[in-house]
Amino acid sequence: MNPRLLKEVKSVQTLLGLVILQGVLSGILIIAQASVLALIVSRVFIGHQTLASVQHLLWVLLAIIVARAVLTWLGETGSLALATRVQSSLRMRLTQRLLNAGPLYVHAQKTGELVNTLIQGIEDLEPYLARYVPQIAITALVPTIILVEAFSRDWITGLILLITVPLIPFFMILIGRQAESSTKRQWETLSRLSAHFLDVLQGLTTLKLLGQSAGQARGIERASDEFRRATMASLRIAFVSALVLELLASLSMAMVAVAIGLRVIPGRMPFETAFFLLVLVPDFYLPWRMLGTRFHDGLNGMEAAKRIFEILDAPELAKAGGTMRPAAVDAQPIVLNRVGFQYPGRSEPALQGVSAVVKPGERVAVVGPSGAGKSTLLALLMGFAVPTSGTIALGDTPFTSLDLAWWRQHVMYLTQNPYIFAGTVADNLRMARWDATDAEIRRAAERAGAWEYIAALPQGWQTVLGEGGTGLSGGQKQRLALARAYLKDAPVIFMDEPTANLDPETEAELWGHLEALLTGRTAVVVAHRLSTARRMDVVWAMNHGQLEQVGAPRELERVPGLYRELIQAYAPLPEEGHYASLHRAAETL
Amino acid sequence: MRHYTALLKPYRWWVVLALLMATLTVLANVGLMSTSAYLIARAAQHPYTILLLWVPIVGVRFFGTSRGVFRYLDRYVSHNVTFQLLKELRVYVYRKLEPLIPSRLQAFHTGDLLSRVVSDVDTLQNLYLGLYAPPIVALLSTIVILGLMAYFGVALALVLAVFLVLAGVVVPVLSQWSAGGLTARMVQARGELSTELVETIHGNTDLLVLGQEARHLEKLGALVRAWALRRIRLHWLAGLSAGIMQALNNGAMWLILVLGIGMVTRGALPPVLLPVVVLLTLASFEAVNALPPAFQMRGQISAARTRINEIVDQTPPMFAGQKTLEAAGLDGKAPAVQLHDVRFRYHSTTPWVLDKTSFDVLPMQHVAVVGPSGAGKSTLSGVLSQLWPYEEGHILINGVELSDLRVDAMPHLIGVVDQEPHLFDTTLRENLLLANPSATPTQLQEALRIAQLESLVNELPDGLETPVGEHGFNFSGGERKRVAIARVILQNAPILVFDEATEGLDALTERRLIQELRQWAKNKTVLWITHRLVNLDVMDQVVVLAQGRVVEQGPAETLGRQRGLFQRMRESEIQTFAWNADAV
Repeated sequence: MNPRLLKEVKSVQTLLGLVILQGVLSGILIIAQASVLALIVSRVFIGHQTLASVQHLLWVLLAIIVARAVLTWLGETGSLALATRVQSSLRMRLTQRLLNAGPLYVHAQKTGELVNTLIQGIEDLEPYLARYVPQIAITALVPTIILVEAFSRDWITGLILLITVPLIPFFMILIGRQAESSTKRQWETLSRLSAHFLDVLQGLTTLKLLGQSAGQARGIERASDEFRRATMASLRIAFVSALVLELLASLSMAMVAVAIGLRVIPGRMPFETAFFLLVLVPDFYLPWRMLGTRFHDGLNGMEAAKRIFEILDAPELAKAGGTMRPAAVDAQPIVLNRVGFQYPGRSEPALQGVSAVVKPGERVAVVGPSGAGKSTLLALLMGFAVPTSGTIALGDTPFTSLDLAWWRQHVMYLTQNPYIFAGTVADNLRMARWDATDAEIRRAAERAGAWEYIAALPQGWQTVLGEGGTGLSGGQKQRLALARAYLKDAPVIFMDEPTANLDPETEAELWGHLEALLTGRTAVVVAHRLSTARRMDVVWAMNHGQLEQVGAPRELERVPGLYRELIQAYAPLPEEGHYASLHRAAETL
Repeated sequence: MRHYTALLKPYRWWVVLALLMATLTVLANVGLMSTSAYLIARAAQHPYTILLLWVPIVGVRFFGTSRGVFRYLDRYVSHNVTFQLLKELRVYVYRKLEPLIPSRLQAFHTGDLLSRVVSDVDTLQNLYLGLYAPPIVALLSTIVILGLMAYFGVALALVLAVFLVLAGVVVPVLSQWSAGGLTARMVQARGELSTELVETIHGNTDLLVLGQEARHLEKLGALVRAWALRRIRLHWLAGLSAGIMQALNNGAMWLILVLGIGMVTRGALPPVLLPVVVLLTLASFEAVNALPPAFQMRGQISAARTRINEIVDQTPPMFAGQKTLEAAGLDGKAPAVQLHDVRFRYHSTTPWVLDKTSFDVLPMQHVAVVGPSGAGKSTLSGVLSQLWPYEEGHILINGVELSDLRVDAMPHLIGVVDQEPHLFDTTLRENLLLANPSATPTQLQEALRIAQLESLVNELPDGLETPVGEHGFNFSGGERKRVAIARVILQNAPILVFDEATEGLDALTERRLIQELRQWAKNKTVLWITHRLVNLDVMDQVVVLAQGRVVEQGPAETLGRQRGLFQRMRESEIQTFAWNADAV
């Protein structure tokens, strides 16, 4: 049991109480059923009583049977329902945490794995909480109660059971450990075989081009056979655990039966006790066997719980730190004073000692090789995290005392891969401003150059888009994001070269719309293209997390330094007359 | 389902053995419980000699020991059957898929599709163990149990039969039926919930930028509640059916006890057998225990089967060409390639990708094919290698219609380095030898040298024996491309198509590679598909494609002066700062 799961999730404590209660009750009921059954059989068989004379006992037996069924029903339903509550509460907490952690945390993780934890990982908690955990309680309680009862009736039977009790977990652990590693190996080889099959299928086109596809069926057959032989060899050992557990249970049943049988003959033990013990023994071993199977059901959930708590411990980088909301955002400079940032768990800082000012209405291009810290800088400006050293301030208000969520309402951020949410086109646009009228939405879409294709969609702006905007091209998504920016109408814009993934024709067209958006606003733009940098008022040239050069783009082109190196680094064949074509190109755009 | 079952046929004796062992495992327990009960009941009659108990004692010991052995053999044999079945399934699916890839499976996202096929095949392997074995084992052991019970009393056997059918068939079917609608709604609720959760992660930036945190949580909360509500109703049903199953087991015992007492009173049943019928009943329910999961398995298996059938039952494309290369007079010398108004589309409902494409390539000419993304450049290599059939127009190889040539002769005519060449998860050497299994070490070395891989391979501690990893991910994109180039060099076909072959290479290596490759291929006909336009002066010709048509054609120098699409694209490319040259 994950201790934090127990400590932090209330429903888990309730669950635990419930399953312990269920374990005790079912232990008592099992014994009650066996006693009444033994009494009835003994009265009829030994005491030669008739149906009528044991009638009342039969009704008691039936009542116990019904009670056991109801207990099972309520116990199962209860533990499943509590598992669902745990799952619901963890889902909400994880989501809240991921929103507070923000993009800097999320993108540092493997997003596929995060998605998997949020969806499948939480699902996997159900068999763990509702099947494995209750089974542990039952295995701990029911055999113990039976053992105590067996001892009180017959110490020899009690002893046989007691000897096997430690043997079972001992063998389960001993063989189980071996079996687990060999079962694990077996699943690994099996999944490797699946991977091999997938590899061949995915490479079928290549195999065809090389004229090798026909022979591969043989290859698959051979590989499968080899894996099968290897796996069967390891399974031979793994299945020994089943053999031993089965043997322990059935042999001790046989031992009990013979041992009590031999004492019944001379009358040293009454038949009733003997039959009672005989009925009880299988119930003594049943929980152990169930535990083995349910252990595997719970395995994934156990792993998932670990990962879930890791995510719940994620640093809340993007959480609003302060409460200040200074007036007149559009008239305030953004002041960076020796800003440094180090990602949690990294040894090298992503940014260090960056000092600069973005004046109101100024448009800044940030350039530099990949890894220079450009995107980190934008993330800090967005308030996705606060600097680990130095300060960023809006006018006189440092970001640490700023209400960051409020700040984000006054800025717009355009990325290379804007996310389109499942829902209608209109919903996607309205996310930027919920009270926008239809006319305003249309106007924004028009200004972003998106209206034309939206109107051409089957249901216009009521068309439902899939998760991530499937079916839309990169340019179309970018235009939707741009329309959001127009709707949001923020005085400050941050952009991470939104046209970088588009083809030249689309890019040129989109820049027309972007240009209009930037007019009259403060902007910081990460530029991947010279043409983009040249459109801005100021260039910040960055390298290794530091700001190396600041100046107007045309000026920086003339002086030696990082910016000029960046331009020159793109070296086509020297005889091509690179500079001539570069300058010609620059004039045309 | 039938043709999948038929795959088990070669292993029928194993199947019989597995079924027998599983049945005996169940029966051993029934035997153990019955003989134990008989043992103590007989003992309670105080027999004058212990020898009278000799038979039940041996029985108890035999059943007690044999159950574990039977269980072990059952496990072992049935897993062997499962693995054999898995092998047969894979071979079957491969044989069916081979002709369909890539031309018939374009409509799906092949990556997802293929992983789904593989996991569906993995599901189908449970066909025997999960689906067929439980009912057969249940039936066989029930027959024996009921036979035994009928020996004690026909009425007892009838009652037991009714309860076994209730527990093994009626309750699982009913509970599945009553959960059916709920399950469907729950799956839907979970789907909506998943979408929202995915958006938390992939749309994290945009949610924060647009200030949607509270709204998102609110929406998610509603979805979580809807999901939990449906889930809890399902749990209620699941708990109920678990309770009923238990009640049936103990209830059968109760009823048989009542009937048995009546029979004992009437003298119809020897009293010594009363404990036996009671414990026999309790033990007998193991026979039907595996049935409810089998009912659940049925849904999964039939879904997997339907999905696989949807894919493999497609009609393979017709490549009717019958001519061998010899018959067509293509003797391995570089031929001319002519395209006349070639039209191709991936599906009859989608637009033409190649739309009356026409251009000529002379023997031994090196021609660059350029154009914006989506212009149909990459489609060309698929059509030329007959992976996809062209619908209209003509492709002439030295005057011979391409579609008249046998499709299995293509690897000898045309070598392709496609945009995403696949490296198999084995060693470097095996990946290279795939193109020419009989290549000599000298040839291998030469191919590595031309592909600019020599120094890389020399630096690897295991050299050519280095595993490339899944999809070749142990190597960078540029390295993978070069392995594919080395492979195509070994293939040594007279026509070569390189699709973005120098992607991911630094300028220096790229230049060297092109020089070496051009030198090596000077006697071959080469199509050089690329989006990098700055190094094309070395090509004999440039063909500019846009929306499936040739819009410009001529030497790079001439096109550069025309200020058409080619020149515009080249200018935009130069504009990109160097550090992003690979990303764009």
